[in-house]
Order: sequence, then C-alpha cells, then structure tokens
Amino acid sequence: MQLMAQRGLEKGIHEGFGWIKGEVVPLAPEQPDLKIPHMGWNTLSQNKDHPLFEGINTGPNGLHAYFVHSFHLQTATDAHLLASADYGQKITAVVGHDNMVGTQFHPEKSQKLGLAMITNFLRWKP
Amino acid sequence: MTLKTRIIPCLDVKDGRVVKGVNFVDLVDAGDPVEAAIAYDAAGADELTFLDITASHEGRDTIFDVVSRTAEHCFMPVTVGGGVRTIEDIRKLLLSGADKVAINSAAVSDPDFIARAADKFGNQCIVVSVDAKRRTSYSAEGDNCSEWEIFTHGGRRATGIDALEFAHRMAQIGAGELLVTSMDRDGTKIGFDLPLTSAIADSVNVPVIASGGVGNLDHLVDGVKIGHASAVLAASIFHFGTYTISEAKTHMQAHGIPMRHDEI
Repeated sequence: MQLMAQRGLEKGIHEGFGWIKGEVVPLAPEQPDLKIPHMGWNTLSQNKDHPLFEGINTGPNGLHAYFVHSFHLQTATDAHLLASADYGQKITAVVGHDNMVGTQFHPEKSQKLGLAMITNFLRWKP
Repeated sequence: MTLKTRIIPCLDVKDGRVVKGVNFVDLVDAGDPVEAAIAYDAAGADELTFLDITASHEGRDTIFDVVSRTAEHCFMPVTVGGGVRTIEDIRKLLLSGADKVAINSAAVSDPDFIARAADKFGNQCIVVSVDAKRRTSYSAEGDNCSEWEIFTHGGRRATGIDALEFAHRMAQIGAGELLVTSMDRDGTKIGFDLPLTSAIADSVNVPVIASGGVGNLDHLVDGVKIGHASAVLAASIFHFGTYTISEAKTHMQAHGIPMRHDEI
C-alpha cells in the first residue's frame, strides 16, 4: 500500500508510484505512552462501502486485522480512504482508487478477516 | 485505542522437530512444528514464535523448511529466533514466510548488526531477545547499573552488560520489539520477573513481550498489568494442555485486558 503513495518519508524521502495522493509519514499517536511500531491486532472502522468488505464484520466489535508498522499512508483526500484503525490517531488501514486497493495490515496474516478480504479481492470485478 | 494484547505460544525447535512435543490436541505427530502451528492457528493464538535451538551447523537449514510449510498452512504472524547472525539469515527467514526475526547473541556481540538489519528490512520485523538474569552480587548503591545482566547462548554465557541499558540502546538503534526473558524464571512456572519486565517496558517506546516463568493464567494478567508488557509469551502451559489459548484470553479479558476473540 505504501508504494502507491506519492512519496514516503521512511529513512529518507523516496518517490512512490503516486497512484494514491498522499504521503507515507511516521505514526504520531496523541498519547506518548503508546508504543511504536503499532504491532498486533486491531479492528477496522469503515469509511466507505467497497466490495472488499463484503460479509466482513468491521467496527469495534468486528473482526481484527494484524498490523505491524511505524509509518502509514496519510491520504490527501478522504475519497481514497476506505477504512481506518484507531491507535491514538486515525491510522490509514485500507485505501482504494479505481481498480486498486491497498491495506496497511497484513491480510495474509489476519486469519478470518484476511482470508475473507483476499477472497473478496479475487471476486471483485472493478 | 483498540489494539489488543497478544498471547504468543513459543515452540522450541531442534533439527526441525518440536522439543518435548505438543500434546494439547490429538496430533498425528506431536513433534512436527507445522502441525503444532496449525493447531495454534486454529486455537486463536495471536502470533507464534519458533525458537530454533539446533546446535549443528548442518541442521540449521531445517528451520527454513519449517517456516515455509507453516506459512503455507497458517494465516497468523510468525517470529523466528535462534542462530540469526547475518543479513542473509534474516532475508532467508523473511522470504520463507517469517514476519519477524528475533536476534540475541548477534545483537550483543555486534550491536550495529541491529541497526543494519533495521535499515535493510525495517524496524518492525527486528525483534531483539533480551535474556536477562539477576546479578548475584548486586547492591542498590552500585553505580549506573540495574539489577539485571544480559546473558547469551541460551542463558549459559554472562556478558556483564546491563540489561536495561542494553534494552534501551537496542530500541534506539532499530529494534521494533523486545522479547524480554528472565533466565531466572524460565521453566520455573512461578511467574514472570515483573520488576524486570516493567523496568524495560517503562523505559522503551517499542512493544515488550514478557517471557519466562508462566505457570498459570494469573501470571499472564500480571505480565500485562504489573509488567506493562504488550504481549505475553508462554510455552509449556499451552503445549501440555494445562490451559487453552481461549481460556487464557477469557481470563485476561475478565481482568480488564482487551483481547481478540475472533472466531477462527
């Protein structure tokens, strides 16, 4: 997902593909005692409807996704933000634009939610 | 904040086989690490750690096969530790399907290795194992050192290095997580060394995994509430079926710790 951004600020400034407007910036949670990396299982808050979420229970009582990262893609426009996670700040969890989607978490490591999302992605006909 | 506390079963693997075996479910082969991993995946473990204790150089390649077969069958995060000494070791483990690697002796003998590894692969996949033991001749008046000292080689070799200083330095130069094991408590079942765990967790800004000494579910609660750990690691209480992962989660949740209860 981070490669889709316009540029990334991790260990230097690097150009991205620029498919999603925005930059990959360090996490900066409001509570300073929150640990970085954001590591572990968190729930998703859906920002937009998308075939990727078909049949997946999101929200605070929904399924969990596995995150392990210190940076995230801050989208320039809310239109490309499909879902976020809460970790002392709003963290970009899923982005989408045209026939592209990207996730900050690891669907291949996110058990039930991840497998459902990969299935939805394969069935998706944009 | 809805990030959940993690429970991490740890499997000791030697020459591609689980040491002492795993008996909490009916496994065809209790010594096959991949079968054990599949069972833990199904049981809802939040991560899995393989600790490779293979001594011989020839046996070292077996872990790559274990990791890649695990990644084929399990959709959970896997950390691999033991004998990780070079950038190439890390690359091979990550390519095999590991999400994180845990580094112990190499971090002590060459701290710069951690910085290079983090530069190459990102801090998020570099775990430093902090194996600590209480000093035998510690006096509170002693200057500039804590009660704990770093050990390497599975706890057999003292280094004289201060555990708190070491932990702090590792987090600064590139460790994304610290696996803090009390060598005094390991295998004792009397609980984590909570002063050690909290001393480190309170002084670094990366997550800390508490390890060494778990004998019951209250110990897991203490590791988080008193030790301030972000995750708890245990081996025998799960391997031998004393408790299930689900029982552990329910117990921790009942004590106010947010846990993940997805149906798998």
